[in-house]
Amino acid sequence: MSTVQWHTLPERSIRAERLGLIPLHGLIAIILIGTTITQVMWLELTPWWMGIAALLWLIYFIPRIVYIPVLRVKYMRFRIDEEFLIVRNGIFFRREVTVPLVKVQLIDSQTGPILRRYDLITLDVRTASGFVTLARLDRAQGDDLRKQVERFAKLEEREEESL
Amino acid sequence: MTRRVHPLFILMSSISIIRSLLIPFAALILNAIRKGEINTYTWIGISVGILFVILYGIASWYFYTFTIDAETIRVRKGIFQKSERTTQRKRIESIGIQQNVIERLLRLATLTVETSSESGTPEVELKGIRLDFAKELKSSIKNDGSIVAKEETEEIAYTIPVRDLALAGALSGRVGLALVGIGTAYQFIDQFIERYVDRLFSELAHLSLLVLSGLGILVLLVIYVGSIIVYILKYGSYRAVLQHNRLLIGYGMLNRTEVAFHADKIQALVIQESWIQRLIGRASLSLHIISATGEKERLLLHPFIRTNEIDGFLATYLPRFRQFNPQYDVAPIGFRYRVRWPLLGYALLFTALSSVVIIVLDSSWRFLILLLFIWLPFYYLAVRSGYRKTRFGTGHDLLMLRKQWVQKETVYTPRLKIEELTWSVSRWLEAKEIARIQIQLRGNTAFNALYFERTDIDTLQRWYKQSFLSTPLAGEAETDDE
Repeated sequence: MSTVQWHTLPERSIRAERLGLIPLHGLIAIILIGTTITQVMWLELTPWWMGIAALLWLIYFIPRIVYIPVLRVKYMRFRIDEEFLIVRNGIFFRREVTVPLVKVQLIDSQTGPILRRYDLITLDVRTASGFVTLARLDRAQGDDLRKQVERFAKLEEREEESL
Repeated sequence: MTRRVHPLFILMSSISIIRSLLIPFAALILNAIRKGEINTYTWIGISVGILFVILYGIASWYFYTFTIDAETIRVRKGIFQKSERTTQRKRIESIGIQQNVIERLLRLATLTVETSSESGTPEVELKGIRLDFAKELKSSIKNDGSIVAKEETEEIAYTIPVRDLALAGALSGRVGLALVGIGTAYQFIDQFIERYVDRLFSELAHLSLLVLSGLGILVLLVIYVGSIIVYILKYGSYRAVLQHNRLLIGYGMLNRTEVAFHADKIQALVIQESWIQRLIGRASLSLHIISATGEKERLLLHPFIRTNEIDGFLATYLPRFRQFNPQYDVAPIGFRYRVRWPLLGYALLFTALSSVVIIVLDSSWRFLILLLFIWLPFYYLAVRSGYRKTRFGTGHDLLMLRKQWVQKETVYTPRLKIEELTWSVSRWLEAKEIARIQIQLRGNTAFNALYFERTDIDTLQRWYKQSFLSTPLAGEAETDDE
């Protein structure tokens, strides 16, 4: 059993994720309200279907903004175990990915105004077959991870591939 | 050296352009002939068009150059919009030579160089170079510029007899493809032969049912034989050569394809046995090699090998791969979730669907919907058999994954080629200590199987988490000095 500690997402990533949802869902709410008002005032309809649309949206939106960010912090974890990056995530489906660090080709990092405000960073760890996303990490954690990967970038794989 | 492709490229490119414009032009000319509107100006127009195509071909040839030096391959082309593509030689994954019918007639070839980029097209494509020069170039690229003459003699090769190809074609189930081909061809020529087809149908309508059935069987037989011929034409003249750990695979009687790659580039070996092949002790072998996400990602290695000859064949041509028995079976408890629950789901779905159809429709035909339920026992038997025969195993350097429904498929992949190892399970099944496994290889190739015991998956993870480094991690101080 490995003694390496699992890293988890910081608590403030919950607030960052919630804030990140506001622009899109705010827009959806405005569209819903706007189309309802249009139908009632100008088209003189009784748009009960807008009620259904709003209900469906709320059924998605409330768990998405209240519970999912909390569950993500609870379930998402990663660690560097010797030569491997191990990431556990998934809210409804638990998933554990093991990636040899020497296979990592590049790390994409993204920070927006919300992530910067909370001192967070999102990393896409890319290999030749795809990528693993580590969303809303503590910036120091992200830098640490990047350094570890850079250390492996200097090392050679056992597999000699020459044509 | 900076060079131009062969001047016959002009002819080839002109033929290609004319060929692509042939149908609309032929339609226009035929229409003009029918209306009697064809005159000298029509022929002048056609001649000017052909001249323009040839001039375009000459200009394309003039601006189409390539440079090969010790480290890079650079291709420049384009008349108005120039393009230059440079590829690092060390990034080359596979080199291929293709010949279409025109190229075969002109003794030309297209050389393609692929890397592991995800562009979906070859990184370098040199069209219209002499076949001999293409082979020489391939050899020089492979050997980093220095052609070693001695190596030429140390090669082992195998070919596949036409009889084996015919049998493989007969059992490959490609009749569907032949049907699609015939359907497409029919749609294309339908407009020209429509009245003859109508006449044929009206005459057929007078024939007896027996004669019609006989004709139907004859047509199916012709299609079946056609599919075998297509298979033989596609894989005919098959030749694989192993030379110093490099494999060269070439096939195709009309359109010739040749792909060369280092045995290290093989991501996975797949052994497939259809139910009929299993009855006669045969299998087909194919390879996943690194390429862009194109058809060459999966290469046929042998279409019809005897199963008892696979070990010897692998020992000769792919010593890294060997067959072994899988150690890990699926979890018995997973049977409930993989087989029984989906069966129950389908049964409920069919019941709901049948109830709606029977209640809503008025016709006596509505009870035909109950035929859906016939599918359930077949589904149950196939999935049960498939689930129970799913296995994985680990060798010294190889992971083996076997799945069997109607077709038995066994995948062998070297540990060092696995880019990601993933296990996953829904939160509802987490407590059952079972999970699905997935291995991810380069070029978006993935293999998965479910459900295995978590303890077996832990063993797999430990096997996978051996070092991937050429020197142990303790020696990193040396590399830090770089």
